[in-house]
Amino acid sequence: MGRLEGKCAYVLGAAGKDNMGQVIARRFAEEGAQVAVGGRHMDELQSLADEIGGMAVKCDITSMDDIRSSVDAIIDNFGKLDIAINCTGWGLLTPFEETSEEDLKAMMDLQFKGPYQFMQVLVGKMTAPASIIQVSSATATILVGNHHAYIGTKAGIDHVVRGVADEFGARGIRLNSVSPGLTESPMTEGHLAVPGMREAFEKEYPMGRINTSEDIAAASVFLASDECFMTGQNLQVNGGLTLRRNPTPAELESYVAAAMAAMAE
Amino acid sequence: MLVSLAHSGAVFDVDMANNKGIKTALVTGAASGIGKGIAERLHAGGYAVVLADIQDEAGESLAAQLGERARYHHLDVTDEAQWDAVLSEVAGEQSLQLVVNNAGIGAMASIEETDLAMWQSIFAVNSTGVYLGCRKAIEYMNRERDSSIINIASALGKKALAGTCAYSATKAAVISLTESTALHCAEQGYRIRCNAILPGFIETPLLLESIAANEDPAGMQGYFTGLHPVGRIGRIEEVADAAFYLASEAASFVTGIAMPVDGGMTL
Repeated sequence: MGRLEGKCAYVLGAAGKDNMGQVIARRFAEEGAQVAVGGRHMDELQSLADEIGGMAVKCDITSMDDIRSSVDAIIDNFGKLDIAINCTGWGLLTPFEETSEEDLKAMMDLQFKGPYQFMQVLVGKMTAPASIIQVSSATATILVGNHHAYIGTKAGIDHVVRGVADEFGARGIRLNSVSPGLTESPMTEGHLAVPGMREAFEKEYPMGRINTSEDIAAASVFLASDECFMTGQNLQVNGGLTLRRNPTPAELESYVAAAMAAMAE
Repeated sequence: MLVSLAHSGAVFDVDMANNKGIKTALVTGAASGIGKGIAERLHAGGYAVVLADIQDEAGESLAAQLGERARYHHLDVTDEAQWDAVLSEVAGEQSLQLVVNNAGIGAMASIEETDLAMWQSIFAVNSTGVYLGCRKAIEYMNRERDSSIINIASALGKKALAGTCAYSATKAAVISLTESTALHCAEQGYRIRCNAILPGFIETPLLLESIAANEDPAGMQGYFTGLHPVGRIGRIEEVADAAFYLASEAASFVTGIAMPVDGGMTL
């Protein structure tokens, strides 16, 4: 018997092929949950939904209308919603002084306003016992350079999670965030392909490897299950990285510069 | 007690196919309360469990009740020689892959109510006992096999109350000890993870008795309940389930964390 038997789950941010959201959605389904997958690209979502026997909903998290209509569609179809996880994100890297107003607004819409409104809608529609999970980041605890807008919005949502958990605990709604470090995924593939980059990160992980999406899926199953008495927490699932640090900007820039020089030759 | 087992999936149970033989877990303070719950959860999940405690009668009785794959061993966690005696025996014949340092004592006492003898006795069990448990676990575990240490700290180690002076200080020490131990094991290349659980107030027989014995039980119950945003105190099986997660393959990339299982008490 699966760990999430009888549960209905919404995994938002599952439209990228083999991204963290897809890995989590497959895992939730394996654990017995009925799973709705949401995101911006319906073709990819529908094919995932077909694969796991779930449903696909269109939802751009920056749109309150999309959030509302997707949650309504899921509850219409499943009859209820017990678990919701937001895996959307945008790994913008830009020097602090060069962060454009346009990028900053986009980041705040995607990683602060969106998750905030996602939780607003969810607490109104979910019934106890319910679990809401935000995918945060180890960088909200230990910095990485040129990532300020990303880190600030992730840390901001971690604190909103604390407050909302406090307010809605008595209604049986738990909220937590989970923090991976740098994760093997299609999104980080290019970054990790820069010679030296992977090693620069790996050496900082006490357990000797960077994250996989499976690490986060396993933790999410735990956070989602009824046996979990945690709420308002930020769970570090990053092989001990937050006991140490991330590589410095100077280190990372040296690898990028070397790669650029090699390409120029 | 074992209600949560009905929901357990294969992923959280011991993966027998990938383990030659059965994993053995040693749980200190296993004769009652949270330790008993953890031992029962691990046993139901397929572990062989060594129940360690100083309450011999209750420990023997629990071992008999669990039956196969369970046995009791006397262990005063403050005594290094007793640790050596238990672990040399266990590690010699079985594969010790989990040590849960749960044994602890407490007192509701403020700084002014805490005399030196009380301070030292609480530190001896709660901090020194866990230090010995971590050190001895590393000494006796097979460092090349996936293993873990779980220290039961407390939400009170993160946020003290006026009346938990020595207790909170011992649990804060355990949180720090956990980080240091996790880093050391990783840096040495040992495949031993080390994590802490920070329970809030839990419905243990001890807590329920102290509530009942209070001159205002309802007021006392309300006070403890009110410390938790979720509006209730925790259940033993909720701590046991968190321990099962941290010990399992599902948490294979989790080390050095202090995990509150406290219904939001530390928010």
